[in-house]
Amino acid sequence: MLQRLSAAAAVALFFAAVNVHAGYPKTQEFRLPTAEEKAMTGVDSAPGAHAAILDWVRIDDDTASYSSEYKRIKVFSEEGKKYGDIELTYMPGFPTYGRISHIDARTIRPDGTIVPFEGKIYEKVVVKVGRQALKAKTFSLPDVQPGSIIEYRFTRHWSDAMLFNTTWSVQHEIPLVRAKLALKPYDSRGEYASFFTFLGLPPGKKPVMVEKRFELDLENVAPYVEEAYAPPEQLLKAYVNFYYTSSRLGAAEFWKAEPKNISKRIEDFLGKAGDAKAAAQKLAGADPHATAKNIYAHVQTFRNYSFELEKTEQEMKKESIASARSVNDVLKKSAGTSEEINRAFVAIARAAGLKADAIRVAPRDTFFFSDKLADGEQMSGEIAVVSIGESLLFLDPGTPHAPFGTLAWEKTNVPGIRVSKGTDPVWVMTPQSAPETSVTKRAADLRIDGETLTGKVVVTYTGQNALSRRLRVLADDDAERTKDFEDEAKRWFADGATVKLASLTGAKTFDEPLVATYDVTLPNLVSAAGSRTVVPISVFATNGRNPFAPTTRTHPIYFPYPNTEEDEVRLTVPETLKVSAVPPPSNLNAGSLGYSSEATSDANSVTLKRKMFVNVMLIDAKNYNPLRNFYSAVLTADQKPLVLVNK
Amino acid sequence: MRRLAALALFALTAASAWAGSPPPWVKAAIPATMPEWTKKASAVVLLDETQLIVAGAGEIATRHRRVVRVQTNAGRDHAYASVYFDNDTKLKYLRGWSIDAKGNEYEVKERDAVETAAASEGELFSDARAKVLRIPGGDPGTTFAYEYERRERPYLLQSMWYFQEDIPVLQAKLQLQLPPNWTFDARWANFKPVESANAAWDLRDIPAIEYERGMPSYSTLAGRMGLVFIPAANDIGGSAQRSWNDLAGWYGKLAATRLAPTPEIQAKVKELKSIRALARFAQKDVRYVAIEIGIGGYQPHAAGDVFRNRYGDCKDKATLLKTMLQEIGIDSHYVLVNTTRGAVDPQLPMLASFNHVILAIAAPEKTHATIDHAKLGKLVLFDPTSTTTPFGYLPSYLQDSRGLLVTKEGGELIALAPHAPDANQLRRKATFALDEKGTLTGQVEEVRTGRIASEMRFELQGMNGTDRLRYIESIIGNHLPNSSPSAIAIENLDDAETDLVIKYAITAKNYAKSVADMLLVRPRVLGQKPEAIVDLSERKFGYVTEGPSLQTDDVEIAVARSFAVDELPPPVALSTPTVEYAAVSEFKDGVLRYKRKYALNTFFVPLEKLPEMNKVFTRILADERASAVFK
Repeated sequence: MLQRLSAAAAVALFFAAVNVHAGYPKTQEFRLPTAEEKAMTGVDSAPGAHAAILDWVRIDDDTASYSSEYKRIKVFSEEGKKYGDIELTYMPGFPTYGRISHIDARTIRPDGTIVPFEGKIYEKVVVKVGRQALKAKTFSLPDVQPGSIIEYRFTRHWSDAMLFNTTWSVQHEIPLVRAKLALKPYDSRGEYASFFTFLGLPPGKKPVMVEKRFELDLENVAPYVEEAYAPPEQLLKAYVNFYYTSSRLGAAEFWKAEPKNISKRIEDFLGKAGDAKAAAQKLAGADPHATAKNIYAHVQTFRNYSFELEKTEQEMKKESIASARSVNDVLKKSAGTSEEINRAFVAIARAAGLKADAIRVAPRDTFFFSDKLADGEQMSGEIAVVSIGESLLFLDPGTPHAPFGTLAWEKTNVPGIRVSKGTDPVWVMTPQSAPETSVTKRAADLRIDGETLTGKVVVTYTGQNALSRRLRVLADDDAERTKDFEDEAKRWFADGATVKLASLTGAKTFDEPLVATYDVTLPNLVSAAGSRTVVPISVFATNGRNPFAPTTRTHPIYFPYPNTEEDEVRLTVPETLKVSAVPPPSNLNAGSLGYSSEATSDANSVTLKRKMFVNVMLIDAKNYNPLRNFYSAVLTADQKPLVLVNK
Repeated sequence: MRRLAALALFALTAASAWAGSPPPWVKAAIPATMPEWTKKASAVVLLDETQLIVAGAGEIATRHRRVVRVQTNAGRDHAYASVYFDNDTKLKYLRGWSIDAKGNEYEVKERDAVETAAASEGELFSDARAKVLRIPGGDPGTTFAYEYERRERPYLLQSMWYFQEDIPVLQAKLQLQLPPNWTFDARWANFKPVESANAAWDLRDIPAIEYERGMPSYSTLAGRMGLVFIPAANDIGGSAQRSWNDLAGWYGKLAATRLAPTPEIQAKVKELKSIRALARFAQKDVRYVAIEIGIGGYQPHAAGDVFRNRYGDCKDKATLLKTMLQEIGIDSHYVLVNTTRGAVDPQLPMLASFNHVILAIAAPEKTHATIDHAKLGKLVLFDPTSTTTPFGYLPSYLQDSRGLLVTKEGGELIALAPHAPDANQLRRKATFALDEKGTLTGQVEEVRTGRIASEMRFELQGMNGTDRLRYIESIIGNHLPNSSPSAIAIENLDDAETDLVIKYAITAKNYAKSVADMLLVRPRVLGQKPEAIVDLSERKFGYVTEGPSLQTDDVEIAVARSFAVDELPPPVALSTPTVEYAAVSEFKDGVLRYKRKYALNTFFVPLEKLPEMNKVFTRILADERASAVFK
């Protein structure tokens, strides 16, 4: 959003706006249903959809600070009747001065008769903070039934002193049959330039300029589908985004220029780092690697504002929390935000004679970087890199308790801008972590006590698996942390399991594994097969579910980071029983996913070793079936039991 | 954990806040040391004080003060003051303070609060709003406090005092000021009544109602007191709603003016004719849309408006149906209910006990939802709002509860009995073949009735076609991880009057587990009956089940001829007042047959019966895991 500067232009636009408001254009006029529309009971692209948007006509005119919108929705089911409730939000206060007007609506019954909307339009406060409010005009259309078509249209106005970016979210929760979208950009006579970017449009489709406005016609856009293990929604949902910038740079030019801007900001911050020298002297190690680790350990002790609970302005004042202007500010307080701590590390490392750089990265937790989008906010994360000989040591000192050499997963395998002193910044890719560096190792030592297994479980987490849990319980106290870990462990076992956390180490450090030790009692596992006793010895997989049970898939499959699961279960067999059969070994290889299990027995015990790894980030939806089959096979292997018989 | 990045947004809410010292009543409430019995709590209410000042014209001023000590990080949730108001309620002031663990003091005022619509789900519009004040501080050791005054002219001269919470309360005080010659009734629920001293109550050391899995609702457990203010004879008519009869009479009068039929309603009634058709019309063709403004929170819209718009909330739907039934000469009566079981306490004839309206229809037929009323005869309880609950049934959340029957003479509290287990059935019939590789193939048919059908319909109707299939595939996958369901067909999904039928085919590879020279086959194949094994170590309350039901499985597995049966799971027969279960496996003519019957008989299992429930569920789980052995 940019504020306009030309009052003269605003006055001229006011008169243009008056003309526009005289009525809706023909494309937004209500119309009777066609025979085909009346007969519609669904759309092929979305079987079982509750409703479909037959027409969506939206005209945005940034020269007049005005937008008009028309929607025509066919209702197919009882559930689809909810689309008869309309809520239109706007911000009435300064500086937007938004308003909604000229609301028309009607219902066309299944038999084609018309029920005009003559009811009341309610105005409600959605949220209000001080003088700022988000309000909504809300109303409900009459006699909406399966088979009805509802139509409504409205205009939206805002202050002609404001210029907003516009987003057309073209993918909805119901299918879109036809859309005619148009935007007339504001002409600032050289002051601002307008651009657009888009994602997920049908092949060959994009806005085209027709008589000074962008136009886009669409047909048959499928609804958005939510799925587990999918990439971030922002990356999947189709949209068109129009934006203005104060420069005339397109996206390609923007990303050529932006690294220098980032580099300047970071180097300016690093420039005032006189205090780093003293710190560097104290932290010198036997070799560069040891020095880097000492410095890393030092800044890890800093208070990290980015990972604290939100604070009010009063609290920040009382605690003297303010943005640091330089590395010296961070070092004086031994506190800062994530990126400030990262830069403190870089500054001390440089002062210690290491070749250390900051890398500004585009985290992938909510979006994947797009160079089509001239938005510097995409580069919202920061890490450090230290060159030691020929190797690069990537570090994440701004993430509390991140193991030395481990980046928070959202900063792995993403583009970044490396900022080096005295040279031009360069684009780099951060490394992906290897599955063997993020391991969950579960070791159980159990004995059979009637129909129950009892014993001890030790779980050791490393890499991302340790870091994600440390961050999850970062703000927790002892009791909450204990409950969190016990709840996680209980989910592995059958209902009724008693799981008591006996000890937890490594939750507040970065350089040790995270180790949880439990005392467990596991009922509802052992079963009978006539006179035989059957034990599903892969006890950690007792509650295993196939996350890919559905037979169909729409989106790619997204694993945040490669990881490994290693289990070792030792079961002591009671003197009254002997081993009749152990589960056969299994070895499943699906390329980037793998699984193996093997059981061995001696005179009085059975030991199962199980390993599973994921070494991939994205799998195309077309490879869904092999993935599904792999997980099915894993569960089948996990269910193969140990059989005991009476001596 | 939220990152500081969110701080910028929140800073708006506190932008104008300024520091000020908490008033003496806040500091006075802080004890030198916290009592030992509160040490494990996430937060402790040090003081919760309410002053109710009733003016002669019926206006009530509520002054409320509260002081809370945070003891753990989870206790930070108490750093908010929420005050509800609407067009008829004036918020005179709202302010808050805190003293953090380091001794820093903070003050925030009403202008720092966030105002939001307080509409509940499904409400299109309500004038109810809330102001939410975030009080600074929050680390363990912080003490929060706030106070507000709210003035309202309630529709009824009643007030509910909720003094027991999910955290300990060291002191809860209520002081009542009435105009001269007014009196009051005080009624207690879930708490031993306490005599007032000059219309003031001072309760100390009230234990927390802590969360337990499957526990009854807080309404059933938490202490509360209802107050009815009785005006002097010459003040505002001198009437008060002191009894269920009074309350029903008030509601009957409030709704009576909304029952006039219009010609359009009369025409529709002629078309539909029968009770069931009219009931279905109100339930299905009138969309649930709630618009509640002022008295509209209690008073229905006119039947004619509801009919014309084809939308309304629960009381609107009930009103339209009542009006239509009148036209065919059928009497019906409003029944005020609460969708939380246990919220209606016989001791508390309070309007606040209710959040929903259904109808009792004078219909001669005997249904699961029929009650025999001493004066009115047979009445069928019917909920026009629940689109998945057919005529003759009551939604499960209303069963085993109470409702206020509104009659011409006034009304009374009635019991809403639970339906019998056989009203809610899941009958699964499956025919499979097991080949020599251990692959199971076959067909399954599941028939659901009553509550079980209603709940499944509710789930499925909210999904589009693709999601429905995926949902069913996921359920099957939970029991058969290596299966590929196909030909999934859902019958009668939108027709709540009929059984819900789901059919599918299954191919499950490696279903039979080959271990050494044995083949293990689980006869049960699908479905798990036990709801929960409840941890009894520190259990204080009973367990609320999903509700009575009768469920059967009839499974046939034709086993490849090359396999010979070695051992079968033993039969199981269990019978307790809560659960009855019988399962038997047999092998005959190459077919492994598994039959079982599971009946859950109650909505509630008392604490003393939980060990027995756990034992029975454990036995059933063992039967569900058991395998037949083939060689």
